[in-house]
Amino acid sequence: MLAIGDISMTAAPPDIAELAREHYAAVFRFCAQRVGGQNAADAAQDTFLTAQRALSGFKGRSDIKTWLLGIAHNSCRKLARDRRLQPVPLEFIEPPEGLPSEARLVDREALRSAFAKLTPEHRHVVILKEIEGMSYEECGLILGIPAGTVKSRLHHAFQLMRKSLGDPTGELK
Amino acid sequence: MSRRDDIKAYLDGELPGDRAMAVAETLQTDTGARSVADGYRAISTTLRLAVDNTKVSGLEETLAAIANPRGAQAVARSPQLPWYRRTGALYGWAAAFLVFGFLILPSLVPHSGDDSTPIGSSVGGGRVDPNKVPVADQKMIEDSNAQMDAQSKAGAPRNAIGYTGVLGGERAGMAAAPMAPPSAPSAPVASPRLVVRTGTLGVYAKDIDRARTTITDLTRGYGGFVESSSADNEADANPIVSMTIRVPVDRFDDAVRVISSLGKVFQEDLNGQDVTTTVVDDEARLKTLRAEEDDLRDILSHARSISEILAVRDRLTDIRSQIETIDAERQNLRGQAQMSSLAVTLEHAPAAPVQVAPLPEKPWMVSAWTRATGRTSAVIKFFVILFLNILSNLPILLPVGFLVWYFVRKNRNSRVY
Repeated sequence: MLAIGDISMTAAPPDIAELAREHYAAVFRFCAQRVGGQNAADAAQDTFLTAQRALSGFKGRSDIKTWLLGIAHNSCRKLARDRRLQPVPLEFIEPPEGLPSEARLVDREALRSAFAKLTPEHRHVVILKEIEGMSYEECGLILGIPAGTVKSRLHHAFQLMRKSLGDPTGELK
Repeated sequence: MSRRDDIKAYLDGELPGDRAMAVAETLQTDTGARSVADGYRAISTTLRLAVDNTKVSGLEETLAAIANPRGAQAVARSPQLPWYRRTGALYGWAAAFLVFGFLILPSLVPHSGDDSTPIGSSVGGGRVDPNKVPVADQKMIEDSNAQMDAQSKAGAPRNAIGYTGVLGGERAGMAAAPMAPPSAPSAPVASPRLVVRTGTLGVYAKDIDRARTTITDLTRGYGGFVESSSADNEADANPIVSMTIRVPVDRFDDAVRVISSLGKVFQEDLNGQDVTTTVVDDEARLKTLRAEEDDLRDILSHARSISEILAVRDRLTDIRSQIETIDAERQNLRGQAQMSSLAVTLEHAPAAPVQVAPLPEKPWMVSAWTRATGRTSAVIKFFVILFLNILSNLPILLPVGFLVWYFVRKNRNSRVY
């Protein structure tokens, strides 16, 4: 996997086909979370075509995957706008063995409902942080916002979800 | 910022050391904060169970598109909305309709009449819409319309000024009170109306000299006179004789009927003007002025200074001038009302028109080309007008368009997925 150091030390820009083979699956899943599986292929393809045009301008200030996901984020926005797509509902798997006991999980149907009530901005940071497992810094780079804003949005998103789930201490202060 | 606001960042390991330590201490001492942290952990753990089960696909198509970027559209699988249904196109349609509706349409549609049409226009013979005049005049107009309808149903012919009572009534033998409405038999008897009757009559006559003689004799027989008579092209085969005759007003319609019977009428224009009010007004003004004149003469007889005498004489001269002017007008109107005027033109009937052979029909391709170029020029004209309208309204449209674009953009970005 190419990282920041790889790009900066490489004289020529990386081959886009190689990048596509390496990161297509991640980009596709990222897009599927936002525009659904049926549209994810189109969004992913648009992402790599955009990356192909913009690759010469890539300065290596971030990880190449983060850069690609930033492009994918914009492609998904454009696709959702053009096709007037609705938010994709969360799908959960059964908790695997070894996870914390059921008492430390919340009701998944209630969480799906609480998640659906969030604004797009809050949903984006929750997906990137909790589902994609990215750092605040990476989330900020993808969304084009400072890390402090990511932290604030996450805090408010979790407060709102707690409130929707019926926890009285989740009220905003 | 409260310690609880940092709980989520603390759980994610995104807090710097000192703040992380402070939050850790809070979690140990504050049960509420601990409860919040537990809730966040549970939500976070559950969210990580969220997956997308869609099978990854499309890599080969993407690689092909990368290899041939121009063919990228061909490998896109999901059909996009047609261009005219996309969001931008919808706003474009809306803008086009607005431009057409507010800028173009008003310039294409002619104005539907002037609401300030005076009531007097009803003299032209048409109905007047009572809704388009002040309330005070509506009753009068409705009465007038009803009267016209009644006359129309009765088959009465309408003369050039739209008043059917005069000509129709008199031709039926109703010579007396010519301006009295025929449908008001129970109305109180008014003073005789003074109507100035004038008309123009054009007749194709076979024998023009004989017709001229007949008209002259007829005029004299009615107690009238020939005011003027002239003949053009008398030596030609098609002479034209123009005469103006004056006949008593009660014989006007008889004269018209007799002259019309001399040949084929090709022009008939008969008018009537009620001058009763004008004459009555003149007489009232005369009465007042004469009384004032008598008073001034009385004052003059008692005047002692030269200045008084001059002032009164000036005023007397002025009054006398007014009296003579008004009296002359009154007598002239009375004379016109007594002796109607009829202009008669006598001509030979024109020869049958020469049949002109129709032009040969153009080939269908030429006709089609002519029509097509005509339509093209109309379309070009339309777009030029549209462009000029937009250009002239640009100072208004630009700020409005920018605001719309800004809010649409803002709204769109906040609601997508």
